[in-house]
Amino acid sequence: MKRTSKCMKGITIGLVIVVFFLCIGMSDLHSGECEKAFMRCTEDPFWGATPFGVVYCITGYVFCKKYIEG
Amino acid sequence: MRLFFALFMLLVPFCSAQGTHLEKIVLEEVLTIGNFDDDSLFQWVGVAVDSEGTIYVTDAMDYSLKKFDASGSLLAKTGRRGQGPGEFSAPRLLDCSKQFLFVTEQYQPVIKVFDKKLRYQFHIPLVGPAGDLKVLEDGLVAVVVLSANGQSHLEFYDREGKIVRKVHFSERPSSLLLDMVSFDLDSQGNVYLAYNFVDKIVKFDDRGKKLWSKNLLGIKQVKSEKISSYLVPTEIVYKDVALDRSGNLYVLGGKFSANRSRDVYVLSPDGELLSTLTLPDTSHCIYIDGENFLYSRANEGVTLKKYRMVYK
Repeated sequence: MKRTSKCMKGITIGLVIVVFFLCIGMSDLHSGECEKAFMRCTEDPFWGATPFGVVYCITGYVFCKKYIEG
Repeated sequence: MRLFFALFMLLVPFCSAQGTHLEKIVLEEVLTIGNFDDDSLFQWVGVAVDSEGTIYVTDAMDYSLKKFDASGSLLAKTGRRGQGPGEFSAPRLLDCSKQFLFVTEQYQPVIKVFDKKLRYQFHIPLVGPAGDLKVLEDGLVAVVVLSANGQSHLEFYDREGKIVRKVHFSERPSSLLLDMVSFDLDSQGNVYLAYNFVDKIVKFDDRGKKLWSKNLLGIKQVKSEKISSYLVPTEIVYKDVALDRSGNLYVLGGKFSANRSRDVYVLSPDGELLSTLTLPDTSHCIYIDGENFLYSRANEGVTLKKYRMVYK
């Protein structure tokens, strides 16, 4: 009985830790919207192929950070 | 005599401290344009107000330039998705002169110029995409332009697209994004810059000489992330700046402010922090018109708010 209780306690603590890290992961996912858009832009052959194209990705990224990041 | 001298020396710092008193600024909402129940605005980006109080707005969602009267009624709208004259692919920044409205595009190195009836007039070619825009007069605009090497410059263009003046403010040889700035100009030609990814606010005189530099938040360096092959700063420090009628500088803070994207720091023309005010909603920009009304965003771009600033 005592052993089962200890096991439950361990599982609960483990679950709390997992939920905590999931929450951190979720907030990272949310804050990374502009970074993902920037990556997609630089990997796009139309924009990312030339240094001049990348500056459009940069201004798009700045706009995204200003507009979306609250 | 010695006692008088000692008293005088004690009073000098006290008197000078009184000259730099902090003011409390209270915002009183006077106008709301757009809400979730109407289709006045979808995702507004740029705002400008002329001397008659007419409000002009760029809307990214429906690729348009809109004109509202001082009471917030929609008077006219122009634009549709496209690359042609009077069309927009991604309308962004906006400013106005006596005669014209100037609109930047996200993906085109141009400023599109319209008259006050929203009729397309001409465009001003730029050497790169615009990061910020201020109009000085009908035929002269100041633009932060990002060049191919990733450096930003403040350039002054005439209506033909000829660069008539250039201000170099970058202090780093290669600094992707770290010299992206928002700026404003006062009537003497002084330039105020707030760096988007560095805790730095700088004032230059009309000849490009640095007058002062401030860091308000004590941020040494923002976090960066390697994306593709680029080291990209990921935390925005300052979002926008605007000068009021008295020449005080308003700086909208970003991630590091106590109230993210809501705190506005008010600095004197000498760079002294006078006050901090907090917007009711997060905003990407601030705009102050000729009557000292402050405009900012609400409802994530569906709403434009106009506030009276009351100094207490």
